[in-house]
Amino acid sequence: MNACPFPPGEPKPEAMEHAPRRINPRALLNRRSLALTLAFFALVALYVYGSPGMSSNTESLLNQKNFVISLSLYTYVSVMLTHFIKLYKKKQKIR
Amino acid sequence: MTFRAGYLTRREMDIWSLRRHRNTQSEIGRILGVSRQAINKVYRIIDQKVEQAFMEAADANHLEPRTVNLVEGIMEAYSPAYKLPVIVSFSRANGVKVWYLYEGKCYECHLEGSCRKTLEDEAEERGISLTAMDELRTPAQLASRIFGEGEGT
Repeated sequence: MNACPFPPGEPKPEAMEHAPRRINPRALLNRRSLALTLAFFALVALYVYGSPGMSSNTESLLNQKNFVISLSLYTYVSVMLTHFIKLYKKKQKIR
Repeated sequence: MTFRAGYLTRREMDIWSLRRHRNTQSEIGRILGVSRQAINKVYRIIDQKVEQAFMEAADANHLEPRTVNLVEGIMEAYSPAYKLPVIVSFSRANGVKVWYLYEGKCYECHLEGSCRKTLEDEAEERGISLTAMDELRTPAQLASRIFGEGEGT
């Protein structure tokens, strides 16, 4: 005989992870998020305006050898990392 | 439903856990630096509180208690409403939990993950080592194995 914490036929409650969460907009404006946003824009600016100066090679960054391959690889790794972090957080929440 | 610590204080919970791991009153007294008589006194309080938690769980879920094992933290009961045998468990990790003994359909339940986690904690606390085969079991089957083993002890 198996065992279940819910009686047969009874509606089961929504899991905690599905419950709508209220986020206070003020909580988003903290030092950490501000620093992260600024760092992101600084990196974008560095990439857009600084790339020709950073390298002695006058060739555009997009035309550099293996650029598309390395960019795809980087994107793939970042997406996988984000996915696993989310999964880990979800598991922690269930605990 | 859950009574998180079954009304036990942290100290009482420690003593209850030590007792469940087959420690004698003298051994527990030595570990905690108190006399055997003091442990004996706490035993009586713990038993009263755990029993009360079980009885309130039974009352809240309309269950008829059959047997109570205060040392293992397991109560066997019967649910007249669902016509099913029930196990009420008590552990440090999960507090008081009610388990209805029937097929259970984990494959169509969105709470499978949290159920599995609860049972893994329960098994760890009861000293039941889960095998690779247990990983393949549904939580409903796993619960049966954990509490089935607990009943036999």
